[in-house]
Amino acid sequence: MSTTYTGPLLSVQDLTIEVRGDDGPVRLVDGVTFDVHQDEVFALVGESGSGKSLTVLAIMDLLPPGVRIASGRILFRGRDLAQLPEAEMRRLRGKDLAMVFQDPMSALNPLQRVGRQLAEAVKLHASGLNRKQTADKVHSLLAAVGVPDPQGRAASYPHQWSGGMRQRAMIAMAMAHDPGLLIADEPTTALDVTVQAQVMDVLAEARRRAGSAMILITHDLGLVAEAADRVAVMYSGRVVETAGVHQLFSSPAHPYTAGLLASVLGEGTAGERAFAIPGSPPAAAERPAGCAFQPRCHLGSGRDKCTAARPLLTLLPTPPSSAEGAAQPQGMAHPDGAAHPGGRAAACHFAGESTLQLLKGQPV
Amino acid sequence: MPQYLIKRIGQAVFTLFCVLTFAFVLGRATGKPAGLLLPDSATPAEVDALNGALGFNEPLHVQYLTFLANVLRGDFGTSYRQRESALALIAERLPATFELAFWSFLLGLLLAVLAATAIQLTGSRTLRSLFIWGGSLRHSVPDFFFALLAGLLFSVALGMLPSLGRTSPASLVLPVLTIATGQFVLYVRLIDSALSDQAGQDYVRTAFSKGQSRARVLFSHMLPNSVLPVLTMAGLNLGSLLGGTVVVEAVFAWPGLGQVLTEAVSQRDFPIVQAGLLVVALIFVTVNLAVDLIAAKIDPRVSLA
Repeated sequence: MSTTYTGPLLSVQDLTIEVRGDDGPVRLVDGVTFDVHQDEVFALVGESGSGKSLTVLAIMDLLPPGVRIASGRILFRGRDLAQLPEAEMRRLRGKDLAMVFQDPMSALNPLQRVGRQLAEAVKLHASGLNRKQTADKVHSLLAAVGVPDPQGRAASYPHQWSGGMRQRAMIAMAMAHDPGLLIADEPTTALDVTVQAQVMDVLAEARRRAGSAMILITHDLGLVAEAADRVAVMYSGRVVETAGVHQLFSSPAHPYTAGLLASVLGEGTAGERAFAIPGSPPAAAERPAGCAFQPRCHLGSGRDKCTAARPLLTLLPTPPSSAEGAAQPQGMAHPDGAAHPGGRAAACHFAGESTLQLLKGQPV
Repeated sequence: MPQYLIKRIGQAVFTLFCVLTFAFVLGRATGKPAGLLLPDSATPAEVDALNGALGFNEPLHVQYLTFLANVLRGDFGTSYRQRESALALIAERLPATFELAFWSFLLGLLLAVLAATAIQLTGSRTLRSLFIWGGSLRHSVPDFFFALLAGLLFSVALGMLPSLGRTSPASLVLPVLTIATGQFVLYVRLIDSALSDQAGQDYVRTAFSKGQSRARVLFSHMLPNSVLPVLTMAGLNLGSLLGGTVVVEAVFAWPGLGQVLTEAVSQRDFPIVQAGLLVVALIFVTVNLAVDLIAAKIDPRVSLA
């Protein structure tokens, strides 16, 4: 990792993940490509089963047994994680790459004190610390995520913690070594609605303090609007659209994105039927040859092109109204640090066509 | 906690009372012992006199109450044949039984833990099949037959180990080997499935995400967390081993509880049978209580109430 490296922090290129099936391998993630830049929050959005979690588990090299990376590259600071030997990977995991999982109720070892589990994370990448220093570090990590009485709490067991507090502990654990990339896999989904916002604030604050980039996996578009800089929308194992968060919400280019946005309940929908995309996503083994979204698409019905050919993720011209950094070379931070280059892209033969019709009359 | 203990001890006392009652009832159901104790030439009058001397001519409820009252005083009576206190005869056999049970249990469990961790560390299906297949093969050979084969090989053919009695530490080897290898596959299956269960848990993924190595995750997270499901079964096994292993003791002439109890049953030596059953039940109850206390100690979520 040279200091002159100027590419994106993380570059996932054509990542394909397969699982062994009865009739040969099944592609769960199919040619996913995206970049995550220094300092940005990159949201990965999609329904359950769209491959978001597998994609980030592949980045961490924590895929479940039987599931493997079939092809593609995962460049982290220019190094291909998919080719890295396990010993090297272990040095990155928990230090430069850290992850916060969905369910804090099960992500902590129920038989070990929380402090001990944090100490394990601390000591793994800082071997020189003695017991006292490790304990101090654990307490300061817990204090930093807003856990009251860190000394007392560290000595207690996970079942004595509430869900929100446990997720704070998980965040503290992930931030132990100020990781370059923090991955949060639906960090608030399993929590009470009342503490979701608090935990997101803690996460955002911890990330900002450490200067980490973050991949935020969620299906909560409200969360995306609040927290993310850029978004990739996944559908049936593929990325169907990537865009800056403002562009995505103001002018979705892919009909699936438009459908997602339209289905969000707004102020005007009380008493009315919420919009729902008809049908359900295809199983990974039965993905159609053409566009995987075609059977559910209001644009694609009856169009031969959609059933015949799989649309590739292609760069779109940026509307002049929101021309943020469309033509900038990769890796150069945008002056205001909020938006990043990379442009917007969609995987649709008719990208942008009349998606707004769907949103008309639908508060977003 | 003290309340819990009192409750458990109360339950234990009730269990022991039931065992005593069963021992009494089943013993009386087999008839009076004097006919077996006296030579064939004894006259009916002599038999009746001996039965009367032993208290068997009293009404059943009187016998039962006398029996219970004596037990409460710690008096199990005198062995009909050996003219010694029955409890003392049982107590005399305990060291031999405990020694055999303890080492067999430890060796079987240790071998199984090693095998199960090797399976997990290598992730090898072949290794798993090998251990389970081999262990099942051994398990499917009856202990007495395996014991005879082991005796033939190591004592008769090779002359390396003693095959009878309890004379030196070497005497332990064959009986322990017989019991431990027989139980090995039970523990391997149990520990392997407990570990595989843990492997899929979220907290294990968390441990890996910290950058922990496979071996450390196995030893510091998965293995301790697998103890709980294994503990109950292991406790039951240990209990039954401590109660004496009839077959193995018989083959190796091991002077343990199993041996003395089977002899006493066939000779209708009721005081020994009754004392022996109570001791075995006491061991079982104690081991079970210990298992529950250990489980509570290991798992902070368990509260003893």
